[in-house]
Amino acid sequence: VRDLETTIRRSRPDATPNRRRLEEIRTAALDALPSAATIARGRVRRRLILAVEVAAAIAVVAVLVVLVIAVPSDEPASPPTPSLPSGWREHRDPASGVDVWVPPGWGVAPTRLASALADPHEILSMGTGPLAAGGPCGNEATRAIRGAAPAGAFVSVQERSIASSAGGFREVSPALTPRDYPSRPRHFDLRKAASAQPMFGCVGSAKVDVWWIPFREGERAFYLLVALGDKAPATLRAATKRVVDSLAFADGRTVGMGPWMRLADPRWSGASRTYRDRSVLQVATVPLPARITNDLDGQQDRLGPGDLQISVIEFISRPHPADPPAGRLPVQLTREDFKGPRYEFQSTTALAVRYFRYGPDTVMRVHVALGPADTPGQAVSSEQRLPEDADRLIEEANDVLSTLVPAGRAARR
Amino acid sequence: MSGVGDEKLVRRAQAGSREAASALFTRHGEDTWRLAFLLVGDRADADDITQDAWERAFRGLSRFEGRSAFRTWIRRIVVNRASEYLRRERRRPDRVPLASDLADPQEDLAASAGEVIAAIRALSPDRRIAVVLHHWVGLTVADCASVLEVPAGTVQSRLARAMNDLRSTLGVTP
Repeated sequence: VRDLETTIRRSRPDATPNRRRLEEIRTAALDALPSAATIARGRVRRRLILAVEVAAAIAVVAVLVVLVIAVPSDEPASPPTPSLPSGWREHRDPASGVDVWVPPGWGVAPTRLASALADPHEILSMGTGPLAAGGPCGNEATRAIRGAAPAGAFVSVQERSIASSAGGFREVSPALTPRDYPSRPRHFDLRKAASAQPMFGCVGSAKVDVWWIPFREGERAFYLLVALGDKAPATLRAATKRVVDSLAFADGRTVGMGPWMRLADPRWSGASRTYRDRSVLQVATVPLPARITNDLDGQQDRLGPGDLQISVIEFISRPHPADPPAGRLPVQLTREDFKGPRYEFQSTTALAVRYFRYGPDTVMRVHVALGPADTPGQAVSSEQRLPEDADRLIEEANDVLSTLVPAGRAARR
Repeated sequence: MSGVGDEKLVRRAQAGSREAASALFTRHGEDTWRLAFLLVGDRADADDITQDAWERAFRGLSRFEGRSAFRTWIRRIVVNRASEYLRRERRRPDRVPLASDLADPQEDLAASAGEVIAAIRALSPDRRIAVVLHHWVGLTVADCASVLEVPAGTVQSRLARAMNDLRSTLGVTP
């Protein structure tokens, strides 16, 4: 026994932490340190926000009532909008918050084509040719771009995730925000192609002109990729221009480097992180640390009454007998989902956990936590821990969850 | 603040002093990371557990009443977080890396694990934690009991069972 104990002691691995990581951890931990003044200010602020929200709601209702009374009924309620050309159809994707007009003969890719792209992520791909995924450069849908030659068209829109933590966008460019992107032009200029850019070297000898146009709209930042075969007729060029000008984006900010969500309400914050084998995305109505962790189960403490937190973890996993029954998107919760088994890490929050499997190898877990009731009490079941405004919180969580898009290759958009 | 004891630093931090809290981290941060790493064997997860433990510690500092030393308390939080991690890992299906280039596998314990380390990693979470605290961190059985908040006899029985498991796995005859 003594020999074995000695062997164990000698086998102790020697490791030192990464200094930079340790400093990041110190910063995150110090940010969690509350002061008495902060706690007091937080209470006052929450009450003020509630009062302002109630006053604003009353004001909005009053203005609407006045407008409804003031506007003569024989006038149009909204300005005329450009009408859809004959034979075209409209493609709407509420999850990604993008609408576009689709000409006859064009198709919209049902899945993402640039599967290796995490951030920016592809939210739309469409074109006249075969919409094939992949290609020699995983970050671009190079097969589809090549498919535009010699006389076709391909359009793809990628969106930058605005809130990402370690390992992603912020780590590369901490100060980059949507304001660093040029505003969306009134009309996209497709006269001067950018096919000479080295990033499109992967297109090989295919005779295509390529445009790569960064732009912002509201709080969202995008890249528009357009590829036109060098023999594309003028009518197709004109149609392509009309397609890209028809792009319409819903409000909000997009967060996530693997799976992603769109946050329409500025109260929400988001952060994401990638690991070797998983991607983590977290959004909440409270500020999140710049560096989130993988431990989704243990991060409910930061929530106060009326707060919400949604955590998503997506990883590659082969089917396993221990897998819980799989669900499907969109995730929509009811009070029943919060009646699950009690978790040892839960203190006063109510938690719902959903599990999804996409195709043979991709798994996603979604955790939704509701802030505690004002008086937690001695609850004996999860149901009793639900706060009074649980129905409203669940509805708000469902709104955000309806925008959840997984990163998995087999995932639908 | 190098000459100030943990007790005073905790009191100042409880009053909202970031400087005192930072000093506590300077004093114990690296040790807690090392403990997390020894428990879970992965640098990224050790980062997460350490961060989560310190966030919890600072957020809940007002609840720290000084019945144990701060070092014992923060170790306990790390062990609890690591314990939850280990239990979750055991339930989690086998996974395939999303992108092998996101971390250097050489840095991870698993990549350089010898037979003994592998056998320790295969122990149940409770036994693994006892072995790590006692044999790798060097805590006495009483200190282990204090960190784990269990009787010393429980620590001893976990260690004894762990040794049986290790003997069996490593083919060591008693």
